[in-house]
Amino acid sequence: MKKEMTIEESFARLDEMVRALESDEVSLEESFKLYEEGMKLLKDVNGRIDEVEKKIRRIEEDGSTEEFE
Amino acid sequence: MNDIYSVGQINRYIKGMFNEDILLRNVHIRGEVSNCKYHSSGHIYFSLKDTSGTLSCIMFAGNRRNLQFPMKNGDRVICGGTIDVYERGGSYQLYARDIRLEGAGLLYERFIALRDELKEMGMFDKTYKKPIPKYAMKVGVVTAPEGAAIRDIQNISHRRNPYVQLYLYPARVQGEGAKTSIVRGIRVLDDFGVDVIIIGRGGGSLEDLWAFNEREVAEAVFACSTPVVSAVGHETDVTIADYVADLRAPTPSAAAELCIFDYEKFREKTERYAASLTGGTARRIERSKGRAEAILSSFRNITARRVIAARGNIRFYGVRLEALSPKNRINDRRRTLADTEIRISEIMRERIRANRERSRQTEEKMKNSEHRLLDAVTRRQLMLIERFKGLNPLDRLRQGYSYVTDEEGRAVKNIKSVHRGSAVTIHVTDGQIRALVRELEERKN
Repeated sequence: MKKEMTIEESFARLDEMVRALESDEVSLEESFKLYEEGMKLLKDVNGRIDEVEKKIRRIEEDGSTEEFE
Repeated sequence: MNDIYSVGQINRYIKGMFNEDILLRNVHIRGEVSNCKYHSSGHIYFSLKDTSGTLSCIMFAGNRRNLQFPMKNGDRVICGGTIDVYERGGSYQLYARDIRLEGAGLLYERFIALRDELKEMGMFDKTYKKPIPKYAMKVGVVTAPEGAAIRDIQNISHRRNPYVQLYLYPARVQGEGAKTSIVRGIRVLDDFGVDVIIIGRGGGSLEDLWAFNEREVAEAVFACSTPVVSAVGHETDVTIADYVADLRAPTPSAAAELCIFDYEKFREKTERYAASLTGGTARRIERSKGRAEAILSSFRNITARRVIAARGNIRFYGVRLEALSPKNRINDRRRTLADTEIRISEIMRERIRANRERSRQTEEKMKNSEHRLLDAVTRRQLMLIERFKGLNPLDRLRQGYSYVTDEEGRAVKNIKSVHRGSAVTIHVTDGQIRALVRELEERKN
């Protein structure tokens, strides 16, 4: 399986896509593909962030964690 | 009075006493620097003082290498050297061999030594620096659980991005076992797997921060496969860990700002991308549509022009054909004839009008000249009448003349007007004489 892109890499890819869309380099069909791919990537990027407020976790020598405080 | 000595003898004597004293030959003195003067010769003149007194000191240029910080008034230092007598001045002073900042002094030297060594080894080289991820979701922190540093990082994380997970390795950051604890923390977090590790602590003395200047800590940071951000003390505090870390943050708060991305900005960025994608695609479609429309419209135009041209042709040929039909030709002729007729009558009318005009003008002219002539005649007649008054032929009759008329009353002017036997009338002043012609006799010239 392809290695998952980091958020940074995703943003870099999105930059490319937007640039391509704004230029006339891509055909109309390709532009639809780019749009789809870009939207999927964005959803992906947004999905990376688990929007649950995090508490600091304390990590122990053995690598186990527990809530700090 | 037994013996009397010269000043020089006494000073020399005292100098000898000082020199025999082993303690004074190699002594370390703690004090605060004052009257510090850097002489152009390279020697440094200064005093050490404490609450009880003052000691004059000199460091010769040849020993300057043993002073590794810019000494200034107020510095608390430990000077090593010899106490000796300055014979000329009759005074004693410390001839300093080395000067260290008190307390920090020794540590500082160790710091410099280790820094230079590790630098020499290439551990600070840029080539080894790992980039700090822009969007770290898991951030490890090696610091004291009860310290200010973790609170600062927590606050900033909460403000910028509460969705980032912080992992704290509760480390001892000063005193006994601190370096071992920090090294453990780095390894545990590196093994656990986080995006970035912050190591640090709040401000303190050089001794307090010392663990971050230890070789073991430097080596652990260097060996760590996760990017490490160091954040030790205040902005002015620089540690070995700072040099070897992938990024140095001036404070723990700053480290948090550097490692925890701003969630709001992230949202804005993704929204901007969504808008750009949508807008870009829409514009792309518009452009295609525009092109298609342009093509269509130019196609339409061409077709329309052709239709118009064709219609024009049809009309043109239709007109021509119709014009050539016999009926039309006849009509044409008729029309021409009628036109000619009209023209002729017009011409005639014009001519008549012109003639009339001309005759009217002539008439006018004639009238004018008649008048003029008449006038002249009248004047002349009147004149003649005046002149011929008294010339009345009847007057002449009174003078003996008479005139003769024939039977018709015509004047007889010659013999041919009458013949023999013609009755003539002779007019005289008071009446007529009727007579018969008896004889005609032509006069002979």
